[in-house]
Amino acid sequence: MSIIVANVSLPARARTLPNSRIIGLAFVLALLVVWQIISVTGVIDTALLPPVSTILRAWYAAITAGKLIGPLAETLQHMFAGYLLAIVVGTIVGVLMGTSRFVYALLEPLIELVRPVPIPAFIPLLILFLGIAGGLKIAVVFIGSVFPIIISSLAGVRGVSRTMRETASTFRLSRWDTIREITVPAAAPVILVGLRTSLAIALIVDVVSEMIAGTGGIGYFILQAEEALRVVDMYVGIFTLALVGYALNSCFLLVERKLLFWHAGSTAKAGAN
Amino acid sequence: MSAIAIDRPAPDIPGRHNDVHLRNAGKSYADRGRVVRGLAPISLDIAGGSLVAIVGRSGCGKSTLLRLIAGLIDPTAGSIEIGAAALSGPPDQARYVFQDYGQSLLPWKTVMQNVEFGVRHGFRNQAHAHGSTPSESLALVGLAGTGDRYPWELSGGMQQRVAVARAISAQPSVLLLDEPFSSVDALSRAQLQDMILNVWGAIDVTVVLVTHDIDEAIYLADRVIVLEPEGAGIGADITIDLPRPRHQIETREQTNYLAYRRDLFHLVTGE
Repeated sequence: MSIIVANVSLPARARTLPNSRIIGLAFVLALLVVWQIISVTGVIDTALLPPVSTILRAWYAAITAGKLIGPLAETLQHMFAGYLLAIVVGTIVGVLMGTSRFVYALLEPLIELVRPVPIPAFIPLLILFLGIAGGLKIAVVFIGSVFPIIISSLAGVRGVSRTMRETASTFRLSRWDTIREITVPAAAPVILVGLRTSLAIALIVDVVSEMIAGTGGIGYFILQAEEALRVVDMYVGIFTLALVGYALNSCFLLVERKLLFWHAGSTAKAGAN
Repeated sequence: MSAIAIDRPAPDIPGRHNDVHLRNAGKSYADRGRVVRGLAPISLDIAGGSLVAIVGRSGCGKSTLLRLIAGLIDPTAGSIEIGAAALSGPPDQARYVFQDYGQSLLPWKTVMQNVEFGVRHGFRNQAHAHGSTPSESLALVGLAGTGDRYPWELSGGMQQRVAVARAISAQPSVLLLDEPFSSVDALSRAQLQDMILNVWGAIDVTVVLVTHDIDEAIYLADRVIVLEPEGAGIGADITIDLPRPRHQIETREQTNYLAYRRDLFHLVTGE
């Protein structure tokens, strides 16, 4: 399940090393070659582990026949709807909890009660309310991804230094101006950690919900392949998710670097004169 | 760089808008049922337009005093006035320069945007505004032409200049400096001291400086207040009668200077 999470803990510097990515991709390529050899030589039954070449051919065929685009679009559509909703709600709730003791006292027990429940446990109940249409997937993605955003926003706001907060008060910023001009930008590096964690979770729970209550999407595509014993298509679905997850994470890192251009520079110098 | 000589109004005109008065103002804290003294109630009149330094050992309450004037903490006794207005919360007329500039400047804004932040959140009373634009404020602290850079691209001393430019661009009547140069190297510190004299000479502002550096206090101030250890209050109040403009070498070689230094050393250390 760590398609996207894989990159999370890498230090920032490792990502900027020009060769590190090439080394890693070369390793993936080498594993695919080993896979191909194992499969072709029959060490593992090709019915269970088809050759990479067969999977790639089937993949290409599925793309050109338009069999993947529809499910992929559906998966992404639900994922982004739920994820964006979670960003809006999660950031607002987290920032309010971090800036208002009352809101924190009000919401903290509720959040800590709901948060540990594994998302799939909600799905049967949500089906009763929402049916198995798109609304269900969006709700599942929202529930799955909102909590890390709340927690990181709260932590980000709590982590704003006293000097920074006092700077806002000595310049007599209103409560709203303080949140807008000081708190949220200062907390942004921590908030974005939560957003990235949630992006990975959003894809995972979206696909899980499609497999439990499927009407479409890549999860349903894989489920159908399983039921028809089309093993190659199961791999096609997984390959697709791997690439989508990788692309999502790469896009996120690009946006993050744009938003937090100031962060690396300001923290690298912290403590030095 | 040396300080600019200017004629300034006599600092003892009564009732100026940038006078600071502490009237039996003190601060104590409750800590696990015990009352801990931050600063015993003190009375102090700081003349508008003067430059006053507060010195004392760690724990003497000098930062508490400055934070009281800044309205960052409320007095538990007495009251504080700036001009004729009694303080409640951070006063519009005062701006504070923190020791930790790295946590006070906004790293996501350029130097110019940081100074503009000061303008946007400035003192609106135009009667006493000195009207310097952000560029002029930057020039005044010796940072002309650095507006497009980010604070973290600058040295510590330059960052503290940005913080001063941001503070004065808010058109304050009172500028509060909390050990502003203690985290920069000695050479930069001398230049920053002259920068402060330059700014103070150019605009009508009362400066209250907290420092642990006796030399810095004498070199900059009209008046040095020595606080007793453990928040016991004012131990000494010394008028510094040294000619202005002051000069990093010549001023510090004057007999008077050395006498002040000797006196203050004994007063602060208690030896």
